Amino acid sequence: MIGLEKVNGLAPTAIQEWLAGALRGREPLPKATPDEPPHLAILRLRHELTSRADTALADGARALLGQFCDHPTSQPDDYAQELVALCSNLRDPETPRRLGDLALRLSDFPRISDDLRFAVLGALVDTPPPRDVAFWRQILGQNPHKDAGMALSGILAVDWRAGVSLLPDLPETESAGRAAAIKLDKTWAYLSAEHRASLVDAVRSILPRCPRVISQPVGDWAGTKPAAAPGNGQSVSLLAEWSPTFIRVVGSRAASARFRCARLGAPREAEGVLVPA
Amino acid sequence: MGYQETLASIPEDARNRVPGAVAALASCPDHRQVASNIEDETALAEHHFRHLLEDLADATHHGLGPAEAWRQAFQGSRLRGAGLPPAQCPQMLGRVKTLATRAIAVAGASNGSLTKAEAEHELRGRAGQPALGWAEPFIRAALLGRTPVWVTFDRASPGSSPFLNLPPDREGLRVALGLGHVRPDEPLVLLACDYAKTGAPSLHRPTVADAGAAPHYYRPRPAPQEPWGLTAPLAPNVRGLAPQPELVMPECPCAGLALPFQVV
Repeated sequence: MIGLEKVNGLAPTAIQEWLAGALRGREPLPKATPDEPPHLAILRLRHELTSRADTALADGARALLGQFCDHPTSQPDDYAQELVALCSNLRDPETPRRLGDLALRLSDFPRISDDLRFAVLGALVDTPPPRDVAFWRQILGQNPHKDAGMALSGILAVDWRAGVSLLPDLPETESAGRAAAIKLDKTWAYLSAEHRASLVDAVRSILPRCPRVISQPVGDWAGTKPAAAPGNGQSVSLLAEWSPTFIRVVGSRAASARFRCARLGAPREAEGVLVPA
Repeated sequence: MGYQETLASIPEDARNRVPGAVAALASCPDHRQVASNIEDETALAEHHFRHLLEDLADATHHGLGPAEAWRQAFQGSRLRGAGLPPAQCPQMLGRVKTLATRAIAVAGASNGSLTKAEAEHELRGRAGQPALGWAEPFIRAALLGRTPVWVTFDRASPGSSPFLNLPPDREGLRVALGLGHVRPDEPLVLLACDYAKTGAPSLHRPTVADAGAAPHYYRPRPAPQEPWGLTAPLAPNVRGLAPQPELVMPECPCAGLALPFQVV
């Protein structure tokens, strides 16, 4: 296999240097097609590496990720995206921690491109363990418009009720509506039969409060799924009715999003929040 | 024009360096095929082949190792194989990618709306379906590939999806299309695109420069006048699958994607 002999023959310290070059497209790799992203070919190569080289590769990736997270604007964008994608696939428990810390500081780096921003947040959604609702609420607070899609994915992964409550506050774009339907469908696929029906009920209950560009695709999605027996999902419907009261009291859409996350995702905390309403 | 004739036509200082650069590539296990392909190349027009060899000589002259010298040289010579006349362009093009690569492209085209895992979930769910549903704008906006995009077509029926006449299974596709690095457990996406709806991009016969840093399953077609290349089916090719035509083109979105697409 291309690259195998070379990497297996490198000293562990040299593998990190090789990896940095490979992620920049400077090393021959076993690509499925010539335009395949380098990190996918590196993952393919990894299947054949000696255990020593594989360990060195994982160590090298961790070190490179550390460098990137410490100085996220110092590397070319393509390289950084490849590195983040590789580390996400290597399943190093250090990766979500480092990326999570960086994600919470993204607003400190206005020069980070949107593509890299989405790569970091997308890796956090796709890489276990999932982050909690509070984390994603902080992400949403940094840039509610730009990061709403990733935050919705992250929240749906850990607390679908909290995720559903975000729907009225998504950016009013066709993309956001279509993506929400896809995310709900993926969430639904991983739920038990009982929770699936509750999810559909919760979505239907909140649709009247969503802008049309959101409610149409999401409603179409909900229409393809069976609902729960009468009675299930009632608590979510009630909350959906309570929220507008809170919105009037507090006034801002951002606050309403935070409220709904807290109310639906962390009931104990939310009980306190609800009192003023 | 072939390698030797082209070599004879470039300035003397470059002419003296090129054989050494090619020999250096041949001595690297990972670049041996590049050296062989350069010597067998027939599809580059004379001035483009000269340009490629001069760039290789130049990069070597500046002290770059053989791999880096080759990487610098081929960049400027991609999509320089003979262009297919518009009247001969097939109406339907076919592209095979790994599901993971396609999911990355779709997630990228969603501009932060979808993660890679979500895009992959959607691609699996929409495969074989007559409509793309909510994912349609993302799937159609995603690039068919990065320049140069390698595509195939059906010689006997250029208006049909080329996959109708290819094996329907992953292993058969790997063998027929020469996708030697694809692992047996890697899902593939089969994309058939309407050429006109894809923007009628220029189509070229592939060359060693298009194969670039991934030349290991590319073999130059010996006949220089042939308008397209041919895949090199993987050995042992127990089913006797025929080589398939191959062309390269600049990157473009999947606007002309024909449905259904397949995941195998």
